Amino acid sequence: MDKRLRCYLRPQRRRWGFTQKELAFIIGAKSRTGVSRLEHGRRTPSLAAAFALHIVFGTDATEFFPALFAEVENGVLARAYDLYERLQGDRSKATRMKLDFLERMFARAKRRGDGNTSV
Amino acid sequence: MNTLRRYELVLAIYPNTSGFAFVLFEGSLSPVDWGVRAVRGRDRNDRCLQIIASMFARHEPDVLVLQDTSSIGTRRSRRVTNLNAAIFKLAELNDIPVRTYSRARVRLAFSYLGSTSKHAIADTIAKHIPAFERYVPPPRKPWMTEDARMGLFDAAALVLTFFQNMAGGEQEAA
Repeated sequence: MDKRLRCYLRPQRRRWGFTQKELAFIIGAKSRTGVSRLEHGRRTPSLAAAFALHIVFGTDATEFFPALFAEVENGVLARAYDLYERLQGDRSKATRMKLDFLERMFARAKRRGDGNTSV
Repeated sequence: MNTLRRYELVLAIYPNTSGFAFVLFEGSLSPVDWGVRAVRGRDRNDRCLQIIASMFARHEPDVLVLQDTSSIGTRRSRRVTNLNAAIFKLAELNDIPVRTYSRARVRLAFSYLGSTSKHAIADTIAKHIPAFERYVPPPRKPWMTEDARMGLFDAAALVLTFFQNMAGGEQEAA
């Protein structure tokens, strides 16, 4: 999924002709300002808002907010690599299991990245 | 890692008598923003340019598509021609490549329809891009002025002509 925009909520909302006020009402936001802030990337969506948007449009939060997803993923992977390095040298069974799991996680992230290469 | 890759973000602006219409596409069938901005008053070209400058800053498009209103292109009113030229210059100042297509070139791109009237082109665009379905104005009678929403389809037709040309291997910048 190649994405240029930070947030795809606005095109989805307008695609179906909803106003910001109507969408705010559906997802339980206080006012249309909250939707506007989400659309322009000035507010990070709450978990409840992400679930609500998924329910409304049937689209994953990762599709709606690719920039936020990329930001979170980069942070998580950087910390996971750090932990992976720190666990090296420990030969216990539990550590081997963790290292295997982290390697699978890195492989999943790489596959996601490879899926983004076509332009 | 999931990173934001550059994707062809194409902005088309179509000035008309009441202001301008714009569409922003990410890929040939994915509109991400669109609208018709009515600007009235004496200095409307300046105000149009201010709005367009803010759009450039917000969306940072990869390409801008305009109608070719040069002497060999499409004949438009002097104000619209001046506005088009000013948008071109503004895009150059912002390092945004510009492509221009004349009305004849757009019609050629849609020539497979048989009828290349504006309404036929609008209908075809709406069929391919459901987001635009509700904007198709009713067919215009000879005594009616053109619906402002038609500008949206004029702008979309420019983008689709651009994508068709890119698929055909267009290389040169207009």
